[in-house]
Amino acid sequence: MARKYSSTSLWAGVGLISVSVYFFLASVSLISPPAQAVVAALLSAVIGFVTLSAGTALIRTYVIARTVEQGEQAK
Amino acid sequence: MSREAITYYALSLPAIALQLFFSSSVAANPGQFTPQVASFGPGITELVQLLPWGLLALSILAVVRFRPSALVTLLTASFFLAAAALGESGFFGTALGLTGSVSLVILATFMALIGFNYARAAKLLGGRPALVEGKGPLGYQLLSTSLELVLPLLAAVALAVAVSAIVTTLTLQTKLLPEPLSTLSSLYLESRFGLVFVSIGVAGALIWAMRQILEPIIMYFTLTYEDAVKMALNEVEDIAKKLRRQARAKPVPGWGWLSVSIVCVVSVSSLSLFVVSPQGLWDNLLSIFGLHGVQGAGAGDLETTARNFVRTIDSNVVKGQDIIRQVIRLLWG
Repeated sequence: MARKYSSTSLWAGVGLISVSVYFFLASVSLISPPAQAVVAALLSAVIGFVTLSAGTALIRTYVIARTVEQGEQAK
Repeated sequence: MSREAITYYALSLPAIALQLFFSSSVAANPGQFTPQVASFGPGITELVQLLPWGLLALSILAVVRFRPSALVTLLTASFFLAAAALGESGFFGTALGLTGSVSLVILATFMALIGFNYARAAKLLGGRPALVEGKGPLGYQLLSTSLELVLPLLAAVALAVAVSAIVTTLTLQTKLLPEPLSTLSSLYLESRFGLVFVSIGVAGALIWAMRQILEPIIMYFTLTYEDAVKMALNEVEDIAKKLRRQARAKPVPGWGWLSVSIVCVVSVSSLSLFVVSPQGLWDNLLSIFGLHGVQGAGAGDLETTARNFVRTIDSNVVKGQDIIRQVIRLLWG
């Protein structure tokens, strides 16, 4: 039986989480002296939260699909 | 006494110790009560001194009766009572600041909540020894203990430290914002309510991020086939409901969008009029057509406007309080 879930979504999720970590760190560095870009730092943090949410949603869907697939194969 | 019960009492101890500290601070410093408390008269001072001991006794009862929510509620009430009675002049003014006290309360709360997990185990066992089904290598046992006990504790400590650091940084960074945002945000963060709301918001965001990362990892190791099918069907059901709703929706003439647009335009215009003044707004509009020079308001004007804005809100709040007081007086006679 062909697999209905792909590890691509897992790696895409991990990639998005890495991107979110990068944006969180960027938001910290943007408000650390001598940088004073408060608005850019806030925007960076928001992008971080959005990419984190998207990444974890992808991984969550992957885990659900994998468990269902393995359960059906075991039956 | 079983091992689970001992662990439970040990983890509940910080909450009790902290309440004991708050109670003794309030009892030992009646002369440092805030004017708001002292203004109620001599009777209320004795009551405020006694109340924390009553809360402490109830907390010990909550520990004995296995009531986690009651213990956490009583700890929070005890903290707020001490903070309201002593302000920042009593124990907060010395080595332990307000932020430090909040961090300790959060830490004690987490420890109490972890402890009740052991209490449940002790109750279920009822004095019988726990049957351990398997014994792995020492490394696995250490990992199991870490995940069960050390990880939540570390998470609580990290959360408290992170909230404190982020709130301090935000308070410093507000001065860099352009006027009037700088003055407005500084005044907001200077108030107790602002500080509490910002702390709650930052803590909520951090807990959300932790949950987002931990949930898929825990799901990967613990999700069963039946639960996975239910979750998958729930997700599909949500999409199906959305599609059905969209299919049923009749085309509308667009009055809703028009109303929203009108509200937005009126709000932006009112804000512009309030911040810039009608004359300044008119000058700006004229300058678009090259008819009049722009005379922008300086940073000082905007700061004054922001301060006036806050004063107006303050006076309105005071008026609201007076009205509420009047209503309560009418109701109580």
